[in-house]
Amino acid sequence: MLRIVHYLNQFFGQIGGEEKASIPPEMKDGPIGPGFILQEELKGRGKVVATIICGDDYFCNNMEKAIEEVLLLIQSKNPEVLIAGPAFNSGRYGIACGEVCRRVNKELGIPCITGMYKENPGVEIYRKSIYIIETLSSVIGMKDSLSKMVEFAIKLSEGKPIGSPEEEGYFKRGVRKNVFSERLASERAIDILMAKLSGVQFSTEVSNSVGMKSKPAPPIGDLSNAQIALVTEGGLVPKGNPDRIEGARCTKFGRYPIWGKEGSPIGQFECIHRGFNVSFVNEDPNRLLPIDVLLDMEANGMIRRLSPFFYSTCGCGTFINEAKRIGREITKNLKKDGTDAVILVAT
Amino acid sequence: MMNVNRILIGGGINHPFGSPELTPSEEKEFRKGLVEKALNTLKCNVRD
Repeated sequence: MLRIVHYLNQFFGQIGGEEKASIPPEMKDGPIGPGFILQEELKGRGKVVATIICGDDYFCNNMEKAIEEVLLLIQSKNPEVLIAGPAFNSGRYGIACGEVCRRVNKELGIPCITGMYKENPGVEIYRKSIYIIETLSSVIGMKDSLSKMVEFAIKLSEGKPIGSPEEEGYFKRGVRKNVFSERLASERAIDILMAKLSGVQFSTEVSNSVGMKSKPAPPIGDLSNAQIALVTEGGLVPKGNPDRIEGARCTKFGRYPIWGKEGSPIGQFECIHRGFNVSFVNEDPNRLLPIDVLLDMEANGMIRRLSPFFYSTCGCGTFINEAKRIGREITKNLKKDGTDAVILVAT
Repeated sequence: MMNVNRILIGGGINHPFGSPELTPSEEKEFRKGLVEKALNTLKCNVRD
């Protein structure tokens, strides 16, 4: 018989509403509130041995302290599975459920499961580290959610293989799994295209992350008064790659002095990008960064100045989060340099 | 390219500001044309 501990907030734990949101964690034997539905859905396969109740404000305002207290309580009951919530669309409750699951799983090695509505902020924060079953936005979905959570929890505790997010009803964790297909990729691609053209529902095999959109910068007014800088993901570095910028899955960038009008850059720089044929750029780095032309433009007053430094990283299998961070850091430097506009050269 | 509001097509993946089949002076002219376009793009008002 599976030993289960259930985590609830002050509201579902039947202590009170917002006025009780600052209560510290406490533990009661057996199920409480939704725990009775949980017990029913277990259908004799497990037992809710204890319920932990913590105020949402208490948890979110003192997260480190609260989680330590909750962990101690959970540990004292030696459960085999932890179920938290479901939190539906309640933000603080969602974050509490997410953090409890993450830490219990990590520190006590116990399978954990929670449930949330897709817009709960806890989903974005925790979906990659824990399993979160998708629920409706309100308590109308209580029985259905708990039923799904129970079946999933049993599967987890028995170490059975877990299916895809679509099959199991949990939020995508960003895990990619290799599978063998009976049909060639080209055939599958044509199927998807045909479905799309005929308006039939289809699902992609490679989904792009969405929701990234930046505001266009205002146009630059007077070029003759502007400092222009060059930035590239093309992996151009001084010969020997002193900063050891990675040629793929890059995590770094370099800030290097531009080459001058006099003297040739050839042989002084090299391209370490692992995603294109770098021989043309190595023959003449101006083919990547048009420094020769921009220096001419600086000389004839078309632009005020070419920034004396260029920035370089490698956009080759680079993780989006790394790219975002690198972008932010380069931007900080560009501002320090007094640069007004950038030509970002992509390969 | 993700999240880019002003995009200019360059001379190719392997040489965005070059065109190796040209003579060096022709290639520099080609590059100059592209840079002028890039600078003009910076002067364009892009609506959200």
